[in-house]
Amino acid sequence: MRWWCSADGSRWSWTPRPYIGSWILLGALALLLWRGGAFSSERSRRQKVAGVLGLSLVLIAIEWPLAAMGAGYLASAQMVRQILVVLIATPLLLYSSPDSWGSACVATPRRARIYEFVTYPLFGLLGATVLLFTVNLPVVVDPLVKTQLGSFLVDLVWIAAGVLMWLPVQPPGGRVARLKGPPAIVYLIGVSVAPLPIAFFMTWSELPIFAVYELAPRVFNSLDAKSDQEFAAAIFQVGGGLVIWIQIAVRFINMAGGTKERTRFRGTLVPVSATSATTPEVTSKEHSP
Amino acid sequence: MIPRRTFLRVAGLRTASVGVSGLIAGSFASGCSSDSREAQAEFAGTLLGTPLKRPTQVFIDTSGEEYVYAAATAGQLSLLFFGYTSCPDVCPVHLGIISRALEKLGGELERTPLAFVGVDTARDTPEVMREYLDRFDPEFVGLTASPDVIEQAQTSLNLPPILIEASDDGGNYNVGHASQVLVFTPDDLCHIVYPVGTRQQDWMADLPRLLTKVW
Repeated sequence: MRWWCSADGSRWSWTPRPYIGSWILLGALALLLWRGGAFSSERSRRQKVAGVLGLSLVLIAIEWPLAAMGAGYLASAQMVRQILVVLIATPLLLYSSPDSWGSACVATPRRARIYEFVTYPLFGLLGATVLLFTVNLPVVVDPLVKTQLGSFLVDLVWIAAGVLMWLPVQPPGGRVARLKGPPAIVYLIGVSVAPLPIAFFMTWSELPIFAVYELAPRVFNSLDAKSDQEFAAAIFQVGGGLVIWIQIAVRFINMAGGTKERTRFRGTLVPVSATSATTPEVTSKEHSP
Repeated sequence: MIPRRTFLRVAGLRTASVGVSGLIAGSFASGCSSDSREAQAEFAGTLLGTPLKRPTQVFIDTSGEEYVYAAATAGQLSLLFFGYTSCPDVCPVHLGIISRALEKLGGELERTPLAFVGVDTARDTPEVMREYLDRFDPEFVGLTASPDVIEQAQTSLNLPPILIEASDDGGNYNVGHASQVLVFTPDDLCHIVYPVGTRQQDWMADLPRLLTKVW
């Protein structure tokens, strides 16, 4: 049994081929969430659902058939995996993460400084873009996805990029988002631009740029390597953009709802950040995915 | 690039490919000079120390006509590949990449003839081959012949004989075959072969130069 997906050059088969490493990683992640209290009765229903959904999407992304197809056969499948991990599962898991995770991030002055630094929006945006750009370069992808360890490394980089990208607007449980309201929306608009340079070469290259996908046995005869590459670029640009714009729309609607709430009272509503120090369980429920 | 060991396992070509590699390595080594090293660096394919002549055997094309490869392609840059239509990996990858490369090259090179000899004579009927090749390029020539004629042609090109594996419960079976594409230049000799793993960019870089190169 293989422990992680990789390109092994064999013909594609629809016979299920589970990866033991995927289940170990998923089990560890679920255990960490569970022990941290992510599914305790104090958590909101939305947070619990987000946790289950996030774990499910991680499993779909790292397990057969999508993982096998993405690592060894189709660039488009790899892009779907990338979107699932970076743009959907990561913010869901951050949203559902227990308060203990947030506390652990700032448990020592040193960690607090690091947390402060990595949640800086420009760092998050640039860091995530650079990481994603790097793991989409043919010179990096071709050798890495040929080995299980290399393919595992790519998946870890996706998770790291996702965390960096979302931390400024979707912090772990118990922490207050660095950006809220209009600044968060502006940040997310910036994030929506990030896939463009990454997919640029895939869209405009005249030839297949990834040797591993060009030389792989075809999964679907009608989808050749070049069409697959163009499809992958479209998935990353359009699909990725759509996911982010849904986030923007949700935040915009929430923001509009908050404005209505404020006009209903004569008094001044206390901002969430002012209550976070004393009632972390309340603030954690007010993060939106 | 498909890892070599995996490919051998998949296509059941351990014996065949080792034989071919030995022949290629041997013929390359026998003619290894500074000129040949320079030429080797110039191309993505593997240069042969001793060039091969076009096969003179009589094949049958997909329209049922006799086809003598040496006569039909004389003086032209042309490609020759021995494969089978039920091949799950090497053949469709090679043919797909070459058809794309020729289409991109355009002009005279787009009409570079490629002949596909179906080595699985039981299943590779002219009709099946025509339908199969049309998926890649309707201009590709499908050739068949009796197993003896195919073996003679392969022997003349220093290719190993095919290996037919035992069939599974559904009657499907794999055929071990040489995985390289032979390129015949206008001097009617094959100086270079292209193994599995040759990319579209390699073909696009090499074919124009092979058309004009003086050996």
